Amino acid sequence: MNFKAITKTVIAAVSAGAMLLPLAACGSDADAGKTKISFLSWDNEQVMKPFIEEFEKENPDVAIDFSYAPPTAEYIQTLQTRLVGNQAPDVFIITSENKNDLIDNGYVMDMTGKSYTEKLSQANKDFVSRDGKLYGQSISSWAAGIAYNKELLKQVGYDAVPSTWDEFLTLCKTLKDAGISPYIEAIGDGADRIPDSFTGAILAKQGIDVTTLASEDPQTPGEHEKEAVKAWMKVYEQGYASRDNVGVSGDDAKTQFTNGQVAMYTTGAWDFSTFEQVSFDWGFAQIPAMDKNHEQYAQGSPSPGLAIYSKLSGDKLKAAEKFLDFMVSDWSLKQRSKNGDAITVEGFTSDVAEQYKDVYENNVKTGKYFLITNFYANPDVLNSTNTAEIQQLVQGTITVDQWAKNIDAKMAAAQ
Amino acid sequence: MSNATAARTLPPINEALNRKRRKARAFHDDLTSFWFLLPILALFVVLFLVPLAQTLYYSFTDFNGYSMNMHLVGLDNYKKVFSDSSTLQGLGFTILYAVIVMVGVTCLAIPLAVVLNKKFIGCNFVRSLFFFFSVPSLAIMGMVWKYIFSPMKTGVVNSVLSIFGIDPIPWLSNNALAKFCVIFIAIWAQIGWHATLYLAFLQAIPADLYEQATVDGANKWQQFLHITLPQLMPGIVTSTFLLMSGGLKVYDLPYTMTKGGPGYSTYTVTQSIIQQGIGQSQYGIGSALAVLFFVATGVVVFLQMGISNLISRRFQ
Repeated sequence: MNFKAITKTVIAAVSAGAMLLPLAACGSDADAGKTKISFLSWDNEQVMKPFIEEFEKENPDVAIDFSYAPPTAEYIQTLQTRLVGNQAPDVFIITSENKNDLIDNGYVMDMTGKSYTEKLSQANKDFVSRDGKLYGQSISSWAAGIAYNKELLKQVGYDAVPSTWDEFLTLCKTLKDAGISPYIEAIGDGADRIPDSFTGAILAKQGIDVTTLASEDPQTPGEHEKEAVKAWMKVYEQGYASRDNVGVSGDDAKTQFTNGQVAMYTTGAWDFSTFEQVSFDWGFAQIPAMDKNHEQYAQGSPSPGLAIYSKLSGDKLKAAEKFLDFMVSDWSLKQRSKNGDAITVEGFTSDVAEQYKDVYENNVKTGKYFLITNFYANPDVLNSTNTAEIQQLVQGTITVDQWAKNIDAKMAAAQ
Repeated sequence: MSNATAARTLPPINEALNRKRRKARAFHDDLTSFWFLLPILALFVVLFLVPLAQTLYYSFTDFNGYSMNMHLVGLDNYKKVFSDSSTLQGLGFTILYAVIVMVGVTCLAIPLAVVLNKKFIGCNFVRSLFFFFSVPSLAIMGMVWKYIFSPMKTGVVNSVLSIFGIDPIPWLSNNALAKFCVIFIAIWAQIGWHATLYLAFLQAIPADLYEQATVDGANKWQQFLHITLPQLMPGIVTSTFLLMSGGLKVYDLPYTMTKGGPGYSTYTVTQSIIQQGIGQSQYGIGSALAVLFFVATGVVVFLQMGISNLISRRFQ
């Protein structure tokens, strides 16, 4: 072998060695001897890092292998691929869009009666329960309400949003008569929030256990929400909201509201930071009750929960359960609350914005909220179908009865 | 055997030898080409043929993406596709979009290219400007134009119209107007790129053809019809092929602008495949839709290429 050939061989060998070195580093880590659990989150590393560091500090025998996929579609796709490919994470997120599939296919552990679920609110438990079994740990919730421009309401003699729908419509009429646009919703994004709040109250009054809805055959969310939709549509039929809302996105609606071009807007706490940046006097009220015979429910939902992979056992299971115990500890709840989550765990009160207190106390903490896609099978089918059908309903091209029929037909086809 | 006889019999032997050598060389060349093609063939098989075969298989199953324990369901998924009104509406808009965008872009890009082909002050800047519109992705265009065509008073177009006392127009709230907006932006965004393509073909047309035509007394329109257009035919075939295939698989622009709404008015087949297949974990139905769409797209594109070639030959 000549000198050139030897040099080439040496360079190749060194290069190959250099490429292998980082791989070797992966094996020789500081986690040797620890129980390692994998955690797939949809909160990014910046959000989750403090939790993981604190947990590992409190539990030096456990190491967490963190990975992240952004919500919702990308996360669900990532989790799905890992589950089918036998690379299931030990702890992961369970939410409305994947809970039925995860439960049906036996991927999630039944955590009924476990210490880390004792203080969870009933509404949060219901969200991730099926047939009396609990499959996730959900610790916070959100609820929508009516954001209102105090100055515009004052001009027509109101200082707050009324508590029933008829009174709300009267307020809309008064505003309209005064030349003020009363109300806007982001129907372009499918954000028809009022019908869900009315339906929640109707189901509660009828004593229906919402956790049984997913098992019903056939699935009839259209029929269940029809009465609520009829009441809600009065705001369009009486001309207090523009039918052009079908092309209005959340950002459009928010801009209209913050510019003072409309008096009221259905939204949630996620828009508060924008309202704060614009200097105007605003308030946030509970969604009115459908009538005096029903309670004031909100459109809302528990936040996604943490689930444990059903095939986990031994030390890994113990470590995963330690992690879930940690996630309901005081330190963890305070940190979550600091991040803006409205905690619903018994004995803990989040420090929420002043305007949000009514909704937090009367809807979030009491569990008086409802989101139609949370409790039926095939929530994705229901969500996309409802968006398209509700747009046609607001346009006036279909009736409420047709809307309900179309929704139920689509659900039946998907089932 | 005398030398003379041997010389007479030699040529056939040499010819046979030569033929053998030529065959061997050709085989060697083929083998070399094969080795060069092997990586791309492997990629084609792994990234195209295997997924295609899988999609075909899934289209006959109830695969939900969560369990590999799937069952064969025959043609059930195909029946569901044909009985789903939203998918059929999506198919209608997809075809409408593909055809109008193809015709619109072609009819506008050719005259634009002819104008850009002339020498004038700042011509390079103007050429770059038109090309620039096609640089951002259609998804970004959709997001920007959503604000421009907002049906609210605050929408850019409606704000301008209000200066002239015109009431707000429900651009994205009305089914017909929403379709118009999506198609209008698709045409606007793609004209520049296709005009650049035509410009390249225009610059390859020999100038003496026009000089001869001028001497023969042909006017500008006749020159365009009998020289420019025939010389542009290869460009037209390429451009319309790209527009038709791209139009049939459109997803980003309508989705970012309207999410397929209002109702299903700007819903597309690709959105339906993604929504049903991935979003709703109905991989069987999504796969059936993808298979049907693959076949339909193939037929449409082959038809379009056939027609283009016929026209091309007519001009030759």
